[in-house]
Amino acid sequence: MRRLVLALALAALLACDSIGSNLFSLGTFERSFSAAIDVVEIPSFDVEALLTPENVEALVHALHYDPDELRRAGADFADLQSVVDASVRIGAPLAARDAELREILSLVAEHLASDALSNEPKGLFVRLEVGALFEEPLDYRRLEASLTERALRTPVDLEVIYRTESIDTLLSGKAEILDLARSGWLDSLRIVEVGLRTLAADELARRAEGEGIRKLLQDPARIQGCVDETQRRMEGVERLSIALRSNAEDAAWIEILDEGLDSEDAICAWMTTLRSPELIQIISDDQGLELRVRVRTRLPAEPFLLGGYLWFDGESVTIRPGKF
Amino acid sequence: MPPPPPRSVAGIDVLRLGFPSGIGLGFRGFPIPELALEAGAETFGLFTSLELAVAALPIPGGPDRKVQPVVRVGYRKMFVHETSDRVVRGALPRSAHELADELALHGARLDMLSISSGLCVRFRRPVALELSVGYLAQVGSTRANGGREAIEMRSARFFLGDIRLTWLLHRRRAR
Repeated sequence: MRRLVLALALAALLACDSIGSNLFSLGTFERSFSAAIDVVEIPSFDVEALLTPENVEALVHALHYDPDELRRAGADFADLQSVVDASVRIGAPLAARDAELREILSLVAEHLASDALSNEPKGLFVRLEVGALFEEPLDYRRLEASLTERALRTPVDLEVIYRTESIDTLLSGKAEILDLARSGWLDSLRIVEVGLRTLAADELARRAEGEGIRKLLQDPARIQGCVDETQRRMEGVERLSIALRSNAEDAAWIEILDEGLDSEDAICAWMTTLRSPELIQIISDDQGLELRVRVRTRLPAEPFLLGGYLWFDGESVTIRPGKF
Repeated sequence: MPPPPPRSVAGIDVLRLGFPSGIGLGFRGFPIPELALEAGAETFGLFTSLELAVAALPIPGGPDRKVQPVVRVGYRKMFVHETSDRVVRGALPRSAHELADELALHGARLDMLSISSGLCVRFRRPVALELSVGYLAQVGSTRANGGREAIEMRSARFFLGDIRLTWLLHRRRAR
């Protein structure tokens, strides 16, 4: 009987994988670290930038109007409504070309936003899809005002991609994590929290002075409930998704977060748990990565800045005497 | 008829010497001869530990028997010293020097469960010598020194070996 009990106890001990396979270890070590999502500007719908005299002239030209004929009919390209009226006077109202006009306006708006907000040398690519703004026919009696009103109530899709040639950029100051990953000591890596929030007034001032605000972005006081009154509210956010992938060819996106929102609050922080061997692969390969943030939101009345962070939990392999 | 030999009801571990616990002192009480409730403290370069344990001395006679097997299960709270950090740092690859600089577990408290077995020899004087070997495993996890970025440690596991010299205290039976 005693032998049977001993045999059962021994079998139970050996069956427990963590104990049976590694009877001696100094332990497994886990450390949390963060990476900043660089600040990006969320643009407003700037009707003045969209409808500059040059743009309006190019627009009517693209619609096969003769700009001089429109001028003679009283068009002032600095005033879109006068162009609309002139088109009626020459017998070819812009309203009759509504679908084409909306398509061109949409393309121009997207092009302008991309040009203004992207910064290719820094690996920042911004794409704004404003097609939803131009889905319905325009009101040609008050064209400019109706465009602005529509922009303030219709959600658009904003996509921001940060591309880094080396993972070191994202994990600046975390060289040890890279070393551990590349030397095979990092056993697992997971993203446990994603934060994205608007910037407060003092942060805007610091940024204007050229001060780095990576650490500030993770300040819990600024995240929990976005309590700072000077933080702009990012209202009307309907969907937020964040994903990353290696720069390697045909690399698949790893989705970190994809969440539908029904909130008028400012963007704060989300918890997530993404455990992925691909994360270690991305770090080990060091071919750089792309981080993609997609927001479906109403455009704000005035532009504001959005920044964020990712918290990772990295776990070492189990340290045993053989490692000494 | 000779009087029955005195029965030991408690003992003081005047010396505890072992791995990985180090050197220390302890106390054990015998509510019944075959069962000991133990408490002790040991210290060593790597850590200081406080132990609570239950030991079974299964053969009738308990600690007063000449040779007695011992089976023990226990709980230890281990307080990590700075020396431990140096040992763990020594295990890290050269390339992770920056991590080694940040690796600081001293002050951490580890919760450990232990199981061990051995033999206890009772001498003519009220002294017993015990030799035991066993296994010690961390339960849960621990972290120390500094907020969210602190290093967290778990799954530490060691073999353990103990020598205990116990001064037995006894109560004479009433005639």
